[in-house]
Amino acid sequence: MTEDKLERKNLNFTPASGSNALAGGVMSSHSMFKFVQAAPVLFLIVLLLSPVAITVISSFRLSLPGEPNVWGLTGWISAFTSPSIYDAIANTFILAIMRVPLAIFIGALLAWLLIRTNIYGRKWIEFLFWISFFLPTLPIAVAWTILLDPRSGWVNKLAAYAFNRIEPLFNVFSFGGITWVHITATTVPVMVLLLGPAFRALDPSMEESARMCGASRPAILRRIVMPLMYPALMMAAIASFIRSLEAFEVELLLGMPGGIRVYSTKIQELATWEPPRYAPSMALSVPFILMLFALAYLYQRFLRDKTFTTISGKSTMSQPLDLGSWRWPLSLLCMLIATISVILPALTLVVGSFMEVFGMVRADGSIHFTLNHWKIVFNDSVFVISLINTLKLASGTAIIAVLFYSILAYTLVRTKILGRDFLSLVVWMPWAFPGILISLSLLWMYLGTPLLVPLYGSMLGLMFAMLFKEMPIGVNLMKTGLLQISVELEDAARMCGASWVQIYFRLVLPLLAPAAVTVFTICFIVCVKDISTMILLSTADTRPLSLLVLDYTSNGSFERGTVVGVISAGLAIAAALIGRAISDRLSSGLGRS
Amino acid sequence: MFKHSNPSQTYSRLSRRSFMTCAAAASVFAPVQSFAQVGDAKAFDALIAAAQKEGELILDGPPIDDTREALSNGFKARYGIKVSYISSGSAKSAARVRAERAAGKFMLDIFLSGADTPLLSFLPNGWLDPASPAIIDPQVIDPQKWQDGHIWYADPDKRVIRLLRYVTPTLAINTKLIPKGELTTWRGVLDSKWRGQLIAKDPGVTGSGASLIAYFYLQFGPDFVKSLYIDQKPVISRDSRQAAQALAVGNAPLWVGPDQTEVVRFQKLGYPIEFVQPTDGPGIISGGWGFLGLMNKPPHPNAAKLFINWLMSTEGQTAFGKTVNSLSLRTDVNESWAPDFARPDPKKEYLDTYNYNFILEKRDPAFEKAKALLSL
Repeated sequence: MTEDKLERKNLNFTPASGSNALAGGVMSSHSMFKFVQAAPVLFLIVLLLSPVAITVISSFRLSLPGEPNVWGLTGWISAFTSPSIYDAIANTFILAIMRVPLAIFIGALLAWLLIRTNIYGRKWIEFLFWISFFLPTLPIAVAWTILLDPRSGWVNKLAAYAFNRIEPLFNVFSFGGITWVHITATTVPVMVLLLGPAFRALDPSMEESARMCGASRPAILRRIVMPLMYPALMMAAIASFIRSLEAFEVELLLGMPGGIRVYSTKIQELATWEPPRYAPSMALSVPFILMLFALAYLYQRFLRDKTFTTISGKSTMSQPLDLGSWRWPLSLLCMLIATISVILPALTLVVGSFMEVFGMVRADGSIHFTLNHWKIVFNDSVFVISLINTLKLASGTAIIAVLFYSILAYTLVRTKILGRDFLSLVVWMPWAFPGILISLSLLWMYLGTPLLVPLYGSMLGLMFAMLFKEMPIGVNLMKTGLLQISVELEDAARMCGASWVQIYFRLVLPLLAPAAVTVFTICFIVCVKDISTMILLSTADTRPLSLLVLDYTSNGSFERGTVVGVISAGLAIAAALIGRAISDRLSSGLGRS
Repeated sequence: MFKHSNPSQTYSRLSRRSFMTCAAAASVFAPVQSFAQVGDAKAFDALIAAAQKEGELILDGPPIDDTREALSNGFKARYGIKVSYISSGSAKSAARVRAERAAGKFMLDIFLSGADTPLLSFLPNGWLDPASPAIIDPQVIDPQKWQDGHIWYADPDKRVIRLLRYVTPTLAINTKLIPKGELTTWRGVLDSKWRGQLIAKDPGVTGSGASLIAYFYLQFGPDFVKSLYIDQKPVISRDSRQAAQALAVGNAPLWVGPDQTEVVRFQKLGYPIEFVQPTDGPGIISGGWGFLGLMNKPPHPNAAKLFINWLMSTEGQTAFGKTVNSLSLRTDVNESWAPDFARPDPKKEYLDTYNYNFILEKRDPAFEKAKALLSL
């Protein structure tokens, strides 16, 4: 069933069409109704486009906020005539092109194996990938440098000893090294996280039918599973591509020694220059906005006139696909990837937090462990308040995100409200900005709009910022989930007399549970980890744990930052476990009803 | 001994509470500097009472946990006033204030930062009140307590106070790879045997990175800059831990623009690394996080002035200096923890990179020329 057909079935949201908004110069009551319905959508479009507008306008404004306006093209000219900018652009695209297809392939294969097949320990391995997403990236990158430094890396030394090599086997300070660290530490785990709900929602009867018709396992994967997964795969690919264009932390650590500078580092540098160079910084962001618009438009066009429904009233639960003789080798492969991506980095992180200097032995080769870093963190006078703030912020944002994003996704998928197509494009926009520019734009928006001033420095303001920032992933995950749910289920409930609220909370949301748990977890962990978005919007009273990490690392107390990283990961794991428990309960409740 | 240096004495003066209360009430409606322009114990007592009535101070300071703890806890322990510490870091602090002021909001009392933000953003935008009238603590205002017999200001209008001054290391070596005494000059760093082996602090960043490359440009000329950053093929690093680690384990024999904290950290682990002071150029003097300013229209004007006096006192300077590994400009601070190289040698020549004229007139033009030379 096409998306349009799905919409036409939902009569409650789409009154019979045919009348023009302004018939004979008089607005009909139907048109008025459509307009009233569209008001929240239009409001959201304006809200989401405000930072975009601020960015574009600021790229032409040569004066700083608070000064008399001076307009010109100098910002653009200086941004794009900077001698190193084209190298930075090329480097950024090389890294993205190296990373995204590989990550999609490995991530999709892993997600399929973990969710649709009978490999050993699949639930545990899947949960390990979730944990990987929770780990702080920078200490993991540092840990990889200790292993893969071309001169002193342990792996290279071992290879030199074992194979009598002169040239190092690996060089972490290279395109390959950066790609490796991203893929193992973030991209593949995120792919598993993003694709998991869609694989989970696949109707097993389709695979079973193919199997009964004699299709081989690779054929089932290629011709049945993958086409149904296109919306989720495309969403994950766009997410991964845009995120890789924006990434700069790992690139700064591993790229700088190899002379690899990237585009987003330039944006960060200009925005935080003294005095700040907002115009060129904003000018460099505008291509991001255009590129994201183009990708979002293509994604939307691709989804049009296609059907991806896999959850219907006729679906039944079935056994996972039997891998036969491939079960053990593929199980071992998954375990190996999980070990490299999760277990080793997590262990490094925990052990490193007890070392005098993270990852370093003393000059005489001895290792001394200490509780000192943990004691200092626990005795820090702002630790408890930061922890409480983070819990409030993360849980509040995650709960609101699930409700708000799912309702928004429902509006986009199931209704014909005026402006929804454009809103579908606009929800991608928050990803067009690096964190520091979101922070700046929201700072200007809060302080420049009288009604929004109370948001500045408040917990609500931080929640709004994080909801804004994570909207692309949240709404699109929910959309992907909704596209897989047949509208017939809602029709049946409606015919039985259920109200929309009942249908939404007792049918749609439980069916969306896998996606909802993923959205909840992603929003929770992003709130725990984010620094750049919150740095300009929080105050001493609303300071979260992540800014405590900034305090520690600015002083070179990398180990204390790692302690907070371990604590944050613990919080996120607890949140994920709670989320999964709720999801299981919702799903089982649905099964009973 | 002055009152605020001993809490018991603070309480011993409670018999004069009536007078103090009146003075405090008056101070809310009148600028405190009207009490006195010179060290005046009564005026200072009035300031304390008025500040305690305000009960809070908003400070934007270094994003360093030890500093936050020392300043927040120290000031609260002394005067019972809560410090709301925002640690934006210098440039981000200016971004906040700029947006707040554009919206007509005045939310910050005090800032404490490096040199660039106050001199390049706060001063030109007129966000600061003159600092000198706020200094009324007799113990602080006494010129004999300060190096060269005066309180140090960063700018001609005396709006920004300078608190710190120390020699910053510019070169570090691994003594296992470069025996002591082998490398003693900057020209020696250009020796072809170090090609591709040295680490250099990223010359393209603002702050200390800008100061170092400007120093090379001004002191040795453009050819030196080109030879060092292009011909010598240095490994550019912006991460001090990473660079220190590479130097410590012998991946690189020398590091141009080292971070003092990180080098000391690895020295403590027994690694053979040391600072070198090249003899063919002046040393570099820095001011670290030691620029202090009083915001105009502060929400807590008396608490802000009291904080300035406390931070400039022996107690405040002792608490502050150690957390930022920097030497105070006060003469009566116990700095036995500090390494010898940090103390300026009266017989040697130094370039003060926190000097107002150097930053505004020499450093930035030289920095821009050097950047263009290196295509940064």
